[in-house]
Amino acid sequence: MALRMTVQVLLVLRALLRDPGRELYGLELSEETGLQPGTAYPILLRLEHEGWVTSRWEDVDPKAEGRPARRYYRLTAGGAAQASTAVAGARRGARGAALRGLAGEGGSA
Amino acid sequence: MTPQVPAPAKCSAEVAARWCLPVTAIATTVCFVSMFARISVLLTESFMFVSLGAEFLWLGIYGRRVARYFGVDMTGLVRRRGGGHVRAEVVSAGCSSAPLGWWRVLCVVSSVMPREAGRRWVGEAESFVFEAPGDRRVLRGLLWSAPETAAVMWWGELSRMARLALPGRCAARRGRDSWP
Repeated sequence: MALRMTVQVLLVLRALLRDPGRELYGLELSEETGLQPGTAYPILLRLEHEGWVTSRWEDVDPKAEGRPARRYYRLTAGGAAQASTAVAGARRGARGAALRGLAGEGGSA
Repeated sequence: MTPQVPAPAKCSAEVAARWCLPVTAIATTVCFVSMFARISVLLTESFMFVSLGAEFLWLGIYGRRVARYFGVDMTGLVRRRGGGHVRAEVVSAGCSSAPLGWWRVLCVVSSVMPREAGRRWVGEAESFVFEAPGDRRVLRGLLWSAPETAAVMWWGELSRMARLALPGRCAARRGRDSWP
């Protein structure tokens, strides 16, 4: 199952790339990306399956903490490099498309 | 001048003889078709009733065992990551904001996922629901995305099993995407 670079995937990657060493849990990631957890979760699973992301359970006692343990996600070294390339490529593509669009509008006007 | 007498109508017996057979044939055919349809519906329904009864019987006998196999306990218990079954009130420890009904739904949905992945999904759902209390969209979103999630999980599980089946070829990648 190849990873498709959709806008949502790019949003998740961008949020993780802000600080590649930082670990984010699901809801934090949803808030940063503006995606619903139901959208972000399959993306994280795919990224993890592709080896771009690793995850771990938070090591806390839920009773002592008064909340359930979180699952933290972090980019791997290889994943960070690939994610940077993908995000940069998408930016270039978007810029190119925008410029083409502007040129098209200029030509038609 | 004699008045023109209209031709006499055909005798009613003749009309009856002419139309009786086709009408009878059509009516009989309709009756037979309807009867067969009703019999088949009756048979189907009775088969459905019988099969439903058999399913209930089967579930009554084996349901608990099947639920245990999938890691789901149906009697108000929820499953917990890391294995084992703990009662809902013990798991939640006052930190779960989701009603028990939703937990049952989550547990049932997670039973279509690979076992470890399902446990992980329920654990994450618990965390999501706790962190965003009262936001039903979170839970709804997770449930809506469950088929996609299950597909991704099964894909990961199957590819992991395939790699384990071919140890020499893919040993380097083994365990990379096992569900922790």
